[in-house]
Amino acid sequence: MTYKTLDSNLTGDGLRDLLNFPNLDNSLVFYPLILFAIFFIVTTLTFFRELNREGKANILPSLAVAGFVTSAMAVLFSLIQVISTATLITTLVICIVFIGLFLLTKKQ
Amino acid sequence: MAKFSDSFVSWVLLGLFVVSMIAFTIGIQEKNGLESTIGNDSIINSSYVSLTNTLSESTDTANSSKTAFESDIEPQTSFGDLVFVSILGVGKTITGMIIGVYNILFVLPTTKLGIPKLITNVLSTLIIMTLVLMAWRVYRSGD
Repeated sequence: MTYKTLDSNLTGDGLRDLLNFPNLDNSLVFYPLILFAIFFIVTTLTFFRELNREGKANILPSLAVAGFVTSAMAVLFSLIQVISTATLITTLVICIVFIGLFLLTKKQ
Repeated sequence: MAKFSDSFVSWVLLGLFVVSMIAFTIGIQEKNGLESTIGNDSIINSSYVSLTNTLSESTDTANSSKTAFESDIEPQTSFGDLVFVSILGVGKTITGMIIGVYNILFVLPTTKLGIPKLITNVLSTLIIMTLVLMAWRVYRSGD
């Protein structure tokens, strides 16, 4: 499979056209993967940072914070229409689940 | 065992977080001219939009009541009628808010994540029973 080139497939010169270029080949896969990467990086970053500083860490606050960050990124992506509404809602739902787990479980 | 006040504050915080997050998303999307917002989704539409509609109706009713109260016109309804209508309006608003937040917190995640309805019903029954028992413990022992 040959990759599409920018010069033959870029219809406009705006930011949205450039960022939407990966969706031409991998529709609905590329930006959800980016969102998952952001979620995973923020989770591990905050978790291991807390573990390094305090000697112990709790994964639920890290997941909740990562959910917020990922939701914010998903809203930004939706504004330039590189992700679908279903992807945005799924991101919000995952964020809601982790916030709920964080708030409703017993605090240490 | 968790205290009722702690659980109540946690549920209120969760509801506020979720509602404000959805309101922020819909507001940002509408202000930037997006054609399909998350408000078009059927579940969010039936929960969040009905919640905001109930609150808007309550605001309109409260404003009209305030205007009528401040004007010099003689009241058209009896005192008892005013009290009962007010209680019913408040009850309707609170019920709509509870159902709307419940839909957002339970129906939306279970539908989108594909969780079977049986599990949702069992979980919500457990949560409701726990809250009722906690409220009963507050009534009995004040804890």
